Amino acid sequence: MAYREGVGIAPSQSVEVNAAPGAASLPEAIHEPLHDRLPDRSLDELWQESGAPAYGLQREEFSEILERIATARNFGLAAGAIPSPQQQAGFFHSLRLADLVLAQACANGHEGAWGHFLEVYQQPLLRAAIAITGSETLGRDLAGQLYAELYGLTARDGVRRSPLDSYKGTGSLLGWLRTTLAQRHVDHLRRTRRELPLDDAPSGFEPPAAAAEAGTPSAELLALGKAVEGALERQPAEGRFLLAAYYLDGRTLLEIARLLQVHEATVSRRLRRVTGELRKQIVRNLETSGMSKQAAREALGTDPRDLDVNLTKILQISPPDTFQEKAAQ
Amino acid sequence: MTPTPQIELHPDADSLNAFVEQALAGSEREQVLAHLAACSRCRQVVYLAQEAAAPARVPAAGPAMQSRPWFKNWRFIWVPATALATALALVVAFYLERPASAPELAKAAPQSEESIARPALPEPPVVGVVHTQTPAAPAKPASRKPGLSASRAVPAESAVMGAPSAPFPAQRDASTFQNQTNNEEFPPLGSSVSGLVPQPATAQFKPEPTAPSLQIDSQRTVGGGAGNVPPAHTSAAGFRGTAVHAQASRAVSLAAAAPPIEPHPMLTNNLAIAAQGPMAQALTPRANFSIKLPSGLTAVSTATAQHHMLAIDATGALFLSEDAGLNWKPVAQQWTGRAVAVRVRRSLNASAAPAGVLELINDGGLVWVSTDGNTWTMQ
Repeated sequence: MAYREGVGIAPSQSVEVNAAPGAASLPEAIHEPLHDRLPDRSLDELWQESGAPAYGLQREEFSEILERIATARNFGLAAGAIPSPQQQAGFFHSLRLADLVLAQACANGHEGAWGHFLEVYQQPLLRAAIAITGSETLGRDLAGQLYAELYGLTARDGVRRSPLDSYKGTGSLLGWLRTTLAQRHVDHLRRTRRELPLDDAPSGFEPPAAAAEAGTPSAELLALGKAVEGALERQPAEGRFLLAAYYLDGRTLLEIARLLQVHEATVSRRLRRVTGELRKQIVRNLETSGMSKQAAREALGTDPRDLDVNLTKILQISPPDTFQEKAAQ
Repeated sequence: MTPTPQIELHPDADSLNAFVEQALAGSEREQVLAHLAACSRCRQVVYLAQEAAAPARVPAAGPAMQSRPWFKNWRFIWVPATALATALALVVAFYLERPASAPELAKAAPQSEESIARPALPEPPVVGVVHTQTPAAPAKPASRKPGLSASRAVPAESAVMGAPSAPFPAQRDASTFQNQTNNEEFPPLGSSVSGLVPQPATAQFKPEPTAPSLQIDSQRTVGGGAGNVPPAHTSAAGFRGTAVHAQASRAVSLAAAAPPIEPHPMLTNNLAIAAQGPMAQALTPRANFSIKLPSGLTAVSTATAQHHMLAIDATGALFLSEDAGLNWKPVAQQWTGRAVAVRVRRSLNASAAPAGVLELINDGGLVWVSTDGNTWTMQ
């Protein structure tokens, strides 16, 4: 999170998955130093395999980096779970240690690391920026801006800060760079969209004519709206994600399938199942509210424009165990 | 805490990238997925990151795909294999089950009309074989090389006569039977003339007067030997049989000029025996074109099971004979459409097949079954 203050774009606040906000919430075993929990032999192997000695990264520093990452992610387990030694070893071996060491060395200003970084990632980063922006000019600007940030041209409290500090080796470094570029681009678009004059801004919402004319919606429409809200809130995360991606974002089945790395037919089948469950749940909710089964089924044929339901708003209500909850803590 | 629609906190780039690369464990992945379901900004980020990764993956995957032959890719092997198997199955099923089509029967009908149009011949109670005229077969003097002539002419006859029976499964047995008997029919060159005579055509029906040699062969085959044949009959058959089979393509004209010959008494007995066996139906394709029915038309399809003999004329009327074709009576129509073929039910397991079950096929391919030829039920 440190880079957010360093960069000038000021993206939305980001948190680490499974990040524990306070030390009190961590299991006691995690507070032990890493070298007390991980055998020296294993730590040496990881240190050697990562190539850390080539960048002048000492063993103790390497151990601290691993400990910081393991603490932040609780070894990839759910918050509060106590990892076994096997789980700890598996977690460390699952990290992209070579990329992690390179990123840390670059963040520390190691010239050799920067040379290797530019040699390996300069062209892919530029291509990714052009692909994200859809324009070579904008892509070069975006890539150049990120290079400046990565090099740590921005400073806080007199200390150079680099976004590479936040890389934890969960995925590849190139993927992290692409995601960071995408974050910068999306944040830039969202910020500049708000700055558009009202005459040029696309009208994203038009009030439904029927609802506007009718004034106060009928009791049936209110009940239907509540039933839809209740059914959507009961959907699991994957179901809500599919609904949002397909119906709100207008993504194709292929795009969703690529993101989830499943077959396109699987996405189609899951979407059909989710919509079927949603329909049944709406009918159940309507029956619970006192409507007969026949009337509940007939209510499903209501013109959606007559409903005062903001699906975007409903789908953006996260379940209580996600990031808002952690921020509240 | 009351959930709010405003998403103020987002997963960092490392978590989003790990989600895209499927590097997150169960609980972490669920958290990111739940956030993505609620946050359009992060959804947009992951989609953009993935789109940016796509062109980088394509060139890397390109050479590997080009160096690998397409047929070694197992994912595509089953596609042509399945298509080929399906096509083969369809073709086999089509030729096994396809009933005789109207054009085929119409093609056969004029051939039978030729025999009807002979005014000089007495109307035989039971008909025999009519050889079709094939212009392609040259007429050669039979006296010079009878064996050679027969060997050239008879296959042409077999091809023409066997064609209508091809679609019927029951008659496919007939073709098998013909192949078996062809070994006897067409011995090597230099064999006796009587060995050239097609036997199955005469085994079921009384022979036509134009083909005395057929009588001889039927007696030899069904009755048990040529020793029962009178010597004079054999000599006559030797001459005429040579002429007929050496020039099978113009056998019709020869038959018209031949004097009428009474059927041999032993043949009638043999017919009854042959008609009871399962092979009886195999004899019908060659003979049914000459059966004259009470309607005045000739039979286009016949079948025999036990003591029942069925025949269909060109109009689709069904006739039943219970005395081996001597007397025919019409059968009331109990089926839809026009009857185009009759046959004996065929089964792969001969022992399991019900004896004497007859099948009638209409022009729509539907099948009716009967055990006595009078009462028909849809299958």
